[in-house]
Amino acid sequence: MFRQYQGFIVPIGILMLCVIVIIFGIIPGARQTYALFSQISDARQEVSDLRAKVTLLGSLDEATLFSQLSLLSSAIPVDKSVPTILSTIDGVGAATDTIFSSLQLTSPGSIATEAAKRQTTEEAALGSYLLPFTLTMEGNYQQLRNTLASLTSSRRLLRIKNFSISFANSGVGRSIMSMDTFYAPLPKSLISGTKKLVPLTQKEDAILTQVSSLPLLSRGVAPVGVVSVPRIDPFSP
Amino acid sequence: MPVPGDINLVKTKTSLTPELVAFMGQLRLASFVGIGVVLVVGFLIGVSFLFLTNERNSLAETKKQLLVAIAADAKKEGLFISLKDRVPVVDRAIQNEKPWGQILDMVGNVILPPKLVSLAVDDHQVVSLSVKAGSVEEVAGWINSIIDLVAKKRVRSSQLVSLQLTKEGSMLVSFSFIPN
Repeated sequence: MFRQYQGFIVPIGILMLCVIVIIFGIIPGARQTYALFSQISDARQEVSDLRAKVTLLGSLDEATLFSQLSLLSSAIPVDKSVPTILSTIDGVGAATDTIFSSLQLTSPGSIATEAAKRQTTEEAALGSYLLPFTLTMEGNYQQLRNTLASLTSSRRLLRIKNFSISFANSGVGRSIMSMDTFYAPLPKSLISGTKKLVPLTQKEDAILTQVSSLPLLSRGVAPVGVVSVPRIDPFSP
Repeated sequence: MPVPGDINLVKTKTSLTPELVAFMGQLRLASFVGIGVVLVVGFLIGVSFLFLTNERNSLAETKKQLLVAIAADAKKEGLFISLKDRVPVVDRAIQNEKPWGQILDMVGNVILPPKLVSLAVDDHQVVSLSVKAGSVEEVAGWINSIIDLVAKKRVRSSQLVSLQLTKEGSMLVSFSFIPN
């Protein structure tokens, strides 16, 4: 009987060996190779992004970047920058011949940027903090009109939330305005690591041009261009 | 031809049915094919693994070099990230501004002091005007002007809020609208 079927033993043994090799060798090997292939695909993308980043950084001029950032920081400073609010209002008053009778900062808090201050829903939507204040001024209709136009078109961005003007019989008006000014600290992380960097888009360039065309009405106070240079290691000398 | 003395009564070979013989042949063939496939696939996987490992190491080396190059430009990178971060913030703040000068121009074309007693704008951008009128015709003129502004789609939701006759015979009228 055994002799009769011994011719089957070798091919069946070979086939069983093949199955064992497939289960314990080829399948795990194929899985590992596929995982390696996926890793390489990601790594290729990462290297491609890093190459683009090196090229982009190489094409940028540090002085230009600094002046562009200073320009934006003169519109929305990195801290509350109360002196620039005062100097802008002073500049607007001088340009429009309006008398500002009072200025009241509603909740000034810390003079500089408050650490870990919680943003309101509106602030989160705007991406910046708001510093509310109330401004009272006097002038004729044209002066008040010019002041409102100047306040909302100055380089140091100010927002008029609501206002009221009451006119005396003489035609002189007294206006009380609830306003906000913006400030936004620099991003916490200034190193993007392996993240992709995208060059400035046309829209972003247009915004920079728009901001540079806004009149800088601050008088006596230098525009806020205090932009700290990022350091990789905060403990490095 | 049988040779004398070569007589064996026990059969040297057992007979298999022709089907089993054919099956054995197929099994042999399958085992050869199996070995071949396992060897070829194993070889291909091995070569691919070695190639990909080499590629991964090469990419890791390139990445290291690129990161060193980027670290050398860390100052520029920081400035650029800050710039990219601030542009949309400034854009949103600019978009949030209302052209109050133009709106006062529009109001000024309709009514000016001393007829205009007060002008107020609330948080929802609703403009309220209080005006002192000497006659009904004057009030009708202002209403027509505001209707004209609505028709030109410069304002919306215009309303006559109140109309009050004073002891002196003049009228105090309040309008409201939302500029577009």
